[in-house]
Amino acid sequence: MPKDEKVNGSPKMELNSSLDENIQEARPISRLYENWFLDYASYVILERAVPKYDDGLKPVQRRILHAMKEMDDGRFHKVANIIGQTMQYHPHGDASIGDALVNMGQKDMLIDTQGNWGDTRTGDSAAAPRYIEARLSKFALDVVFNKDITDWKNSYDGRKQEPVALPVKFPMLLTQGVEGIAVGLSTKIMPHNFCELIKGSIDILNGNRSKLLPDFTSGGMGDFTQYNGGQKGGKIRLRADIEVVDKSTLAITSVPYNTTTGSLIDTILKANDSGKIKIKKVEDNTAQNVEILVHLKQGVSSDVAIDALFAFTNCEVSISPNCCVIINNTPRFLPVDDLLKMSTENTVGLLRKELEILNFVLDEKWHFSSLERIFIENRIYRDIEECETWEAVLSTIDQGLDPFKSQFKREITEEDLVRLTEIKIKRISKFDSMKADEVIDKIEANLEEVKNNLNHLTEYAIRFFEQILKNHGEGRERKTEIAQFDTIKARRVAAANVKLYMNREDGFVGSSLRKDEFICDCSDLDDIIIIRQDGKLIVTRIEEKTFVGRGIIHADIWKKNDIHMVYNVIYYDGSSGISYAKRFSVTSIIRDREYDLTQGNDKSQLLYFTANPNSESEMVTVNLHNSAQARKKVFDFDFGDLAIKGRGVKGNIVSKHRVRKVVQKEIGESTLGGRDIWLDENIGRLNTDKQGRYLGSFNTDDAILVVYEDGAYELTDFELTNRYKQTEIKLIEKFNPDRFLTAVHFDGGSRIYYVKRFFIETATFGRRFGFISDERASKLVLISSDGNPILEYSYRTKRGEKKTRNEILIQFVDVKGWKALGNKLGNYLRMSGFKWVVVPMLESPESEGEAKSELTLFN
Amino acid sequence: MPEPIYDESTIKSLDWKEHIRTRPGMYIGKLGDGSSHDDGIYILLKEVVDNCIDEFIMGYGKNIDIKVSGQKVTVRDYGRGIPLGKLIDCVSKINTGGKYDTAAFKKSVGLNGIGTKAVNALSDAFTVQSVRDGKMKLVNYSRGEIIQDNKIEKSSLRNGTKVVFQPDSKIFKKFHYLTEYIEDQIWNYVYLNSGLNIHFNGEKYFSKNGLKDLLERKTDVEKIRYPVIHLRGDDIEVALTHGDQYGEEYYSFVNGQHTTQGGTHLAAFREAVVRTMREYYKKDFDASDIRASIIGAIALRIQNPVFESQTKTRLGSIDMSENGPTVRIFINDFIKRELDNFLHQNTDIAEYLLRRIMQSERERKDMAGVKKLANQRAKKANLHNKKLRDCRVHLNDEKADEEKRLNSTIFITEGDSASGSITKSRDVATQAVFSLRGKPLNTFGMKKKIVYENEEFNLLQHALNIEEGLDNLRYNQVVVATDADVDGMHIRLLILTFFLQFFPDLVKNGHVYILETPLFRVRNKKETLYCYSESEKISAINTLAGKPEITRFKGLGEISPEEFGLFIGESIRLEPVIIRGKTSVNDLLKYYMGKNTEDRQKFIIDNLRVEEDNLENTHA
Repeated sequence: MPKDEKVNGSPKMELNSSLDENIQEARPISRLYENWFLDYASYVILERAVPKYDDGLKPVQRRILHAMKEMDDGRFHKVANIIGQTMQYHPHGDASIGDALVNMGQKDMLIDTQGNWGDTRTGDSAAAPRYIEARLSKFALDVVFNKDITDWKNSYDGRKQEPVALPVKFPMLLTQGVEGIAVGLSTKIMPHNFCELIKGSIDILNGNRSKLLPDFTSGGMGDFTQYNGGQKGGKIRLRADIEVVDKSTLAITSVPYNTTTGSLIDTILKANDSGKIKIKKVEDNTAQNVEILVHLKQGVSSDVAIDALFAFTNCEVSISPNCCVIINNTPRFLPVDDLLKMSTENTVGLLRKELEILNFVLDEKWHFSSLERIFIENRIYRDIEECETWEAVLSTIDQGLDPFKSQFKREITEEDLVRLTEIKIKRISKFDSMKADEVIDKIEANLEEVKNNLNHLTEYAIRFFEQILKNHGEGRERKTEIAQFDTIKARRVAAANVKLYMNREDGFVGSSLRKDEFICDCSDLDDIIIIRQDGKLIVTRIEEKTFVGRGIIHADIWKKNDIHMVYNVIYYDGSSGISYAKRFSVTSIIRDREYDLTQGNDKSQLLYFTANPNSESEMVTVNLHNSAQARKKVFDFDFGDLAIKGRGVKGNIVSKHRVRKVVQKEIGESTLGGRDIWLDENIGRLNTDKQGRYLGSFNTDDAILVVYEDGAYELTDFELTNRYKQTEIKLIEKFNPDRFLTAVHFDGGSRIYYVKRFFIETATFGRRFGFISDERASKLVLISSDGNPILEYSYRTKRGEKKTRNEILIQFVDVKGWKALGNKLGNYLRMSGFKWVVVPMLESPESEGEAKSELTLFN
Repeated sequence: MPEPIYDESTIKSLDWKEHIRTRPGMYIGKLGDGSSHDDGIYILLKEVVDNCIDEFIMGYGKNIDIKVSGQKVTVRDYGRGIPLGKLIDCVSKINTGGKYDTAAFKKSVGLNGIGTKAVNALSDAFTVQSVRDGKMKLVNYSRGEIIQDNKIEKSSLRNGTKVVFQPDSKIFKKFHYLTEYIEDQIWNYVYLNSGLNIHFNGEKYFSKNGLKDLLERKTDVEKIRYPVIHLRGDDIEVALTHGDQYGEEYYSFVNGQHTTQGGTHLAAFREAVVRTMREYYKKDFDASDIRASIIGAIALRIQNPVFESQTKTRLGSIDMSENGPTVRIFINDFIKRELDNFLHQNTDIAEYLLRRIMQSERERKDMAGVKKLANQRAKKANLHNKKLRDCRVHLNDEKADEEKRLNSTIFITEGDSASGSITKSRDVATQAVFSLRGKPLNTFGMKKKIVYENEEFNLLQHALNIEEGLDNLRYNQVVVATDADVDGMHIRLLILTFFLQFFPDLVKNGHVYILETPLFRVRNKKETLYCYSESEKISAINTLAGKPEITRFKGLGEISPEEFGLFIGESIRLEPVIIRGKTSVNDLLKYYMGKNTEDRQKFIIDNLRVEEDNLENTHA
């Protein structure tokens, strides 16, 4: 602004930079968006999708319950009518109200239903609202309503009043669970067990902490180890119950939460279409109970099929809960246990309010009953006959009461006096002092009790919860079994659904190269390892056709962390001309990246290559080139001398001279020995990840011995897909054919205890052999594979004394065939308390030796 | 019935100011209340400033001061000042001016000498003051009539002219100036006149790089595909770049006049860009692929420009000057030469540009399948657009009355709640209704395919006629008329997102508005007042003594057609949707319409709006 001007007399020409009056600014689009967005988001969060913590209800649910309470006359009402009534409070469409009502009805807690309300298991929907009927359940009437302690607000059109929140004296939200997608946030609270919640509330009142886990009416199994109190970030996994009907049939007898039989079958069919599992047929035989029959194709192991069902279908679902509720008009994220604590405190508050109201009512009752008694007994009513004016009447009564006023707890008001004048003559004439005293006593007793309850509110609340549990807890026991799931490696259980081929010259691998060299069957989840003549190594996903470079010398399925797959290599280094040998395994790698097995120099290439799945070493004969200056042109090279290292090592020098060819001479021993296998007893699965009990080191021919509760044994292979039901198993260990088993069993026929020692003579895998008599009452008492089993048991003498006895069994029981009955174990009365005596010092030299040899294998 | 008299007495010769005041549309387009960028009050300001600019172009007065306070506007330049003797003629005698013959003003816009006079005639108060070499004259007017004619007196002020005016509130009802629109005007002045400083309400506006600055202000510099190409020549300046938005975006000017509806120069520019690029890349690209997502600006100076309307928003000139080349050839030659040179010199930019063109080509081919369906739908919609109740006059009707054209409006209404009553109460000449059913899709992140696949969007595109760009837009105002409840807010978000996503130029050119409807009705037995805010409600309650009945409107469905007539008639209240230069529309949409983020969740929770228990608002 130019400032060099003078202002003289004439009107000011220059503009003042200060503003006299602001001009309007338009709201920029970002403000508009913010404004609209906040309006909408706030409403959806507060008034539509997220429940209020106070009563655990979304607005539509609260309004339905309120409307039903208004209509309640003990009879069923048509749902259409309830929807209409609800619309007075809920300014939205009838369909959304109907859906919400059906949803509540299906949870079978607050609403008694009549008619076809659909089925959450099959996904069948309910009949039309004009057909089906509903009324509030006894439970709802018991715990959800109380007009006197409810806060009210105007309905949307200002014509009626509706509750701000219902006085629910129960953690309803946690029982039923809820799901709501709002704007910017969502809530997902799992249902919990009715009885456990009440017990949890009682625990909290007793000053303990609760630890809630979800429970679903659909049953099944649940792994809640990562439940994290239902907060965001947690995760639960649910599984259907799957039973093995016979070798080729599985029965799914429950469906996970939020899954229907129909949708479950769809996922099974989809998995079948993509070749992940192989089934012949699926049938839905659901009636009273869920039953989906899955007929397997021939040759498919039922164990693998079960795993595949969990891995590839909705037989296992994973849910990420996210507990969010509205507290004081703000969405809050908190663990369900905190929610239960707050809900319990809320219930206590409501109970106190109820008691206080009761207290007040009783006080008033006592006040007036006492007043009445004095009024009549002392014939004060006679005094008013003389009075001419109304005022005089009242003052006369007041004067008449004067001597007794000290007995009362509060002032006597004019209202009280008016009420006294309204007493009927009949009542005065028939007045019975005895009875009046009785009534007053009763009121006093009640008052006493209420006061006592108020003073011991916590105890009162505990009694209240116990009462609910007693009245409504029946049939609401936990349905979902709490379990720990293994993680099923999808790759391990996927059925081989494609074939792997390669074209060595052109450098292609893939599942569509049917004209080329066949390698193996595999699943489309598998990774493929490729090694080329030029010493490059690549791991890639199997596709229909992938170019991996010309000159493939090896292609196969690659398993991550497989240290037993050892590659023996001799390569020629293009820059120095030296040939090196090395042994390595490929345990982890980045897909689709080329790695060098040589030193990466030009013209380097592989001279010799073998893949050894069980870390076999080998002896090779090396032939040098004729032109080589070496004295010995042919010599042997033993890979056994090399340590197994990573793929990147340089290796040891084989020869500095040109190598003509390398020929295998003989295959050596496995360097690493067998696979170490553990049994995770929680889940009954084998693993190589050091989970659970160590079973031992397994070589190809080794087996696992399983002895069942019912007196049968079985040998199984050590496939990681095997499952062992821990509850049915007496003994499970690595099978050692040189060891005998010692069994104590009870013969149901002769009712005598026997001991037998025997070797496993069968070699069949996967079949159970019963080794005790098959009488009905026969049972296997104890089993051991110990070299020197010592049995302890007690019995009663004829005089009734209790005695205990130790028996060194090898001394009097001979080893016989597995079918033999064995020796009688004394003939005593009421034998009991069988157990093995643990004598750690007395281990047999045989087992000691084995332990040692395992140790050396390990190193 | 008496015969209409038709004799000497009925023949009227209107005084100049009478004429302007009875037919303001002929001079300044539509009237409006200031919520639209082309409303009359902005034209008034422009007419005054244009004269200052002319002085600047002649080389006098690098500074212009503008002050708008409330409804009063003051403009002061430091040019030579209007010759004092002719001061009165210049502002109140029609067909008077200094730009008729003089070579000086050959390439100016306001040469017909009407501008300032129109402002004078349409102002409650109008003051003009001129200082020339130590002498000063000042005249006061009201609605074109001289109130006070001061004698020439001595002055020590700097040379120049100052005009103060306040638009006539009888003609412009309840108007208000919006800073954003004035700012836009001012920016355009400084972009087109390097060296010019404008001081507006204390802020200084100044541009060094002309149209390049313009494009950089209009776009998010981070989001453009390559740095702005800026070419200058005699009488011509061009800038262009490509972004990622759908549609084309242009800013065209002739002699400093913003031609919002383009014209011959813009047509030539579009043609020339396509031609040059085809030749440069030696490939016969589809014109739409080259122009997709383009952001361009062109400023031209020509002699005696001819416009297709008095408001000068569309250039009609064929030739650059009387014996000069045609506008088309001039622009074509310039761009062919300069742009081609530029691309050869900046091969990296040429590479980016090529990629953008190829991308557009791919996207267009992706849509080929959908286009078939689209054509079928188009046929059907041409026959009858079932969602649309059309009006008689459209923005693109060349022959129609200009004021009506500019008033053409389409209301996009929410389902059944208001379509019926708007239809019943609208002015069928200029107001059309398009009804949505339920909530439209959230189009954020979607491909343009959806405009063809979704029937409702397709019909809307048809109703607006914007498939090929804004050239043939059928309505000047696109008004979103939803309920003022939360679902209405949601629909506003969704519809705006649709426009911003696929037709951003519609919003950028200021065609989109939100209809404000009253929140309350306050009435007693005699009088009814409608209030748009809480404060208006309180003042209405005070006006209507006693105990008036208060109704809160929650949905447009509660308003009956007779009432609605008031809300969309003369006193219609529109909130313009304005994109400020620096707003990144994409980020905005991503934040509000995209996926849930922790950030947004926190924002919502921190700013949650709780509806208060409205016990006192309800009526018996």
